[in-house]
Amino acid sequence: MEAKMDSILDAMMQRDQVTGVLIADNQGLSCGTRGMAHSQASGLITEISHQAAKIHPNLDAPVVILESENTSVTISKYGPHTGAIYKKKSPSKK
Amino acid sequence: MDLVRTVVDAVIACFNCRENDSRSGEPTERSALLQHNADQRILQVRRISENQRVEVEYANSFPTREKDEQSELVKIVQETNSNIIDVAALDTHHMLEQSEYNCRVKTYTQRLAQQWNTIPTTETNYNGLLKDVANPEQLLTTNPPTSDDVISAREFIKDIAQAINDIKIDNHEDLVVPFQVT
Repeated sequence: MEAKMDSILDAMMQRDQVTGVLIADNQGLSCGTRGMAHSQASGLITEISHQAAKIHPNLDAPVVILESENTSVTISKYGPHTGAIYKKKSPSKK
Repeated sequence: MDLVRTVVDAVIACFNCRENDSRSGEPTERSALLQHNADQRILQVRRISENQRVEVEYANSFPTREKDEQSELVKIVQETNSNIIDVAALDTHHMLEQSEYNCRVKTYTQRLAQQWNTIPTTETNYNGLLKDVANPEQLLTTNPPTSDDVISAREFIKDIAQAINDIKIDNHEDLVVPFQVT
């Protein structure tokens, strides 16, 4: 049933520097999480993607990247679904 | 004119004398009300004596022509002396020694610091975007997100959305279940 979704989430977790994955529906309900992504953050992530999509309503929803000191969260939206990929930040090039 | 007047006065006086003699000193219509000549002489004498007295009393206040020239010269010399700026003399008089200079610099800096401390400063509220970030320079010097990250994120959400849409619920049991049927 949700085996395909699980396989995609697991495949994403296998990528470099990825520490967590989250999927939520249009209402902010968490459909699946992996790693450090917490299901309680699904509502916030969904709302962020909705607000970002209001900037250019006629275009595709933009990809929002939240950066902290060690982690970055890439939020993308497609249709009613919103996904977030948690990544460990690579050291800066000097 | 004065000469003519004196002559006329003298003639009038002669006539007066004759009439005075003839009328035993009584004033007539031709007798002069004021004795011009005598009065003028008295006035002149008074003026002269007064001028002399003033000159004697205020001799110092009425300098002679030589004194005037001298005082003018002295005045000019004094003015030029006051207007001249002697640079060499200034250097010698106002030259500060190195130690005194350093001492003054210290005292002035201390006074300035005290004044700065006494001035009330208003706290400035920073309304910057990164006001809540402890070290914004570290955040800003990190590598920017690459296009690969964005593309992979888009592909990931597309695949996931497709996978969620493909979820189908297979019914293996009866939808209608008998409940408390006797």
